[in-house]
Amino acid sequence: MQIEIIKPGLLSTIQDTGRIGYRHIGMPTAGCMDHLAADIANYLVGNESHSAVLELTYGGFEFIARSDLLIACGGQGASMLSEGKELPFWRPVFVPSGKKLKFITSDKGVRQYLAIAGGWCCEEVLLSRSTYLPTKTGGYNGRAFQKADLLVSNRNINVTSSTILMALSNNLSITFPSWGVNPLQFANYHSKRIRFIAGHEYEWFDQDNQQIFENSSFAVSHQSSRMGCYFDGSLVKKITTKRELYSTGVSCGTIQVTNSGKIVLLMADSQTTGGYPRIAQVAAVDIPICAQLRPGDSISFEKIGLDQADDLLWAQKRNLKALKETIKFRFI
Amino acid sequence: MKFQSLSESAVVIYFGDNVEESTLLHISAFNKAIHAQPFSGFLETVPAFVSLTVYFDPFLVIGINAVKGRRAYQMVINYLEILSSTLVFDKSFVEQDLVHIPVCYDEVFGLDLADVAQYNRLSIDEVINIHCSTIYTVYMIGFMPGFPYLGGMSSKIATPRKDFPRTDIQPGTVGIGGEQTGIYPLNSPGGWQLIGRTPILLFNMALTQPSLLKAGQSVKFYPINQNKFKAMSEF
Repeated sequence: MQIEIIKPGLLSTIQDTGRIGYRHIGMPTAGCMDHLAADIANYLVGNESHSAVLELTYGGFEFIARSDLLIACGGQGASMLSEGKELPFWRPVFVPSGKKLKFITSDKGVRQYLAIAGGWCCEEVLLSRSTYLPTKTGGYNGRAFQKADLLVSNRNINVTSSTILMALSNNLSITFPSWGVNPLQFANYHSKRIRFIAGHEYEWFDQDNQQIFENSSFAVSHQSSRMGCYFDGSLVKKITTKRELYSTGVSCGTIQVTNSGKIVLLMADSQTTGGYPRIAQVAAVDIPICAQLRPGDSISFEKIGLDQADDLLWAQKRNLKALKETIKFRFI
Repeated sequence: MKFQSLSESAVVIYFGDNVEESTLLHISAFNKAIHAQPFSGFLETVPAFVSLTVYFDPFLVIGINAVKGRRAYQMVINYLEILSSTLVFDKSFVEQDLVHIPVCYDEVFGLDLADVAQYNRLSIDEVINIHCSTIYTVYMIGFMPGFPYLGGMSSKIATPRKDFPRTDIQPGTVGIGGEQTGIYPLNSPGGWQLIGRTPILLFNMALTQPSLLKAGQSVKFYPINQNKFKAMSEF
């Protein structure tokens, strides 16, 4: 399966579950910002989680199918159109060769994931297909997509992909099933309360400042990127007698407080270590919600226990696993 | 030693409160041991000044032993505690080679050099002399690809990070953040005080080992002027 890019949109890159094993030389994991949407899109075309997907930022991306395609799109930042008609997200879609598809910005989020049966084909660099732009690593020649790029999928598709393809490709028009996945069953993308567990330096903040962190709302700043979400709002000040922190490990979801009191939430392209005090760690289940926060969105933080965060993560994992099994037998 | 969960999928081991040679040895030894005897679900580690962060896949850690209330991070902590009790470590874990790195401290690169001097009540030349006279230990690589955190900087030139991080710092820029010094290998935002720039590449994706430095090596800086900088430039 092959597509040709007509318009690349704001930022379109290949991502997967991330680059594991190089954090010790400072290489970020990169990977899908909203891994939940990417997982669902992959499952809908019969893929595994680790298949490479296209991460699109807002609308603007346009392509033409240079062969018949089996795709699925998940995410919050755009809608998908062909010949003026909206095509559904969260369903497998058969697209015959020659059709043009385009994405139009919506006001619900930022990123969408275009999965294709077999996964997008590109070379693995340091064990991953994820694009990390600062070092031009992975993905499509280490860069974001440009006009006229040709992108192919892996030729080998599995039994599930093949079954879905056969079920949908019986004519020459765009075809999709009447059912779809409801992403809200997996994560509450509408929620403006982000759950967190106390970070390792939570006690570096006195009660007043902990209260400011938990009871204020924060606006997502325009500085936000794949590296992290920056927030405007009340300043959170650490206890002044605290020394500077020795830089130490961080991960996607770590919330640091800068010396000026601004909070920064580290995301997929974040540094591997940090030296600002870590007030919080976002519960892993709420990372997909953070990945869809738009500049100007107002959110607040809610403290939960680590065990609760772990329970939520397992519940989400079980739901995803059940979805994957359901799709496997849906078309047989 | 203290073991503490960072998230559902990472545990940090703290080896002490202060940066010391013995702590570096201990972290290196532990890091080697965990790679030699990984638990199921183990992904990778990040050694740092006083800590070692261990990343894992919680679903693989639990595997078929899923029982309500069983926590991957608790299992990992239990495993690491046992591992620590079996640990023997010695100097052979730390590499000894010394890497000389040229730095141009001219004000075109050392944007905050005057501030660092003023904060510490020193002249600019004194700051440069102090910065160049020390042999630093690479305690860790982190923050960005190939970024070396160097231990051993004189507290005479220690300066707090900037209140507002810069949004774009040039590759090769040498900075001071608190009691640490380091080099930005790539364009990056950052909150350190900038004191100079090296013409040498710290991170090169064209190489199979992309990072010039690794934890355990030693580094010494020497000053160069702008002409030398241009002649040596690898950018």
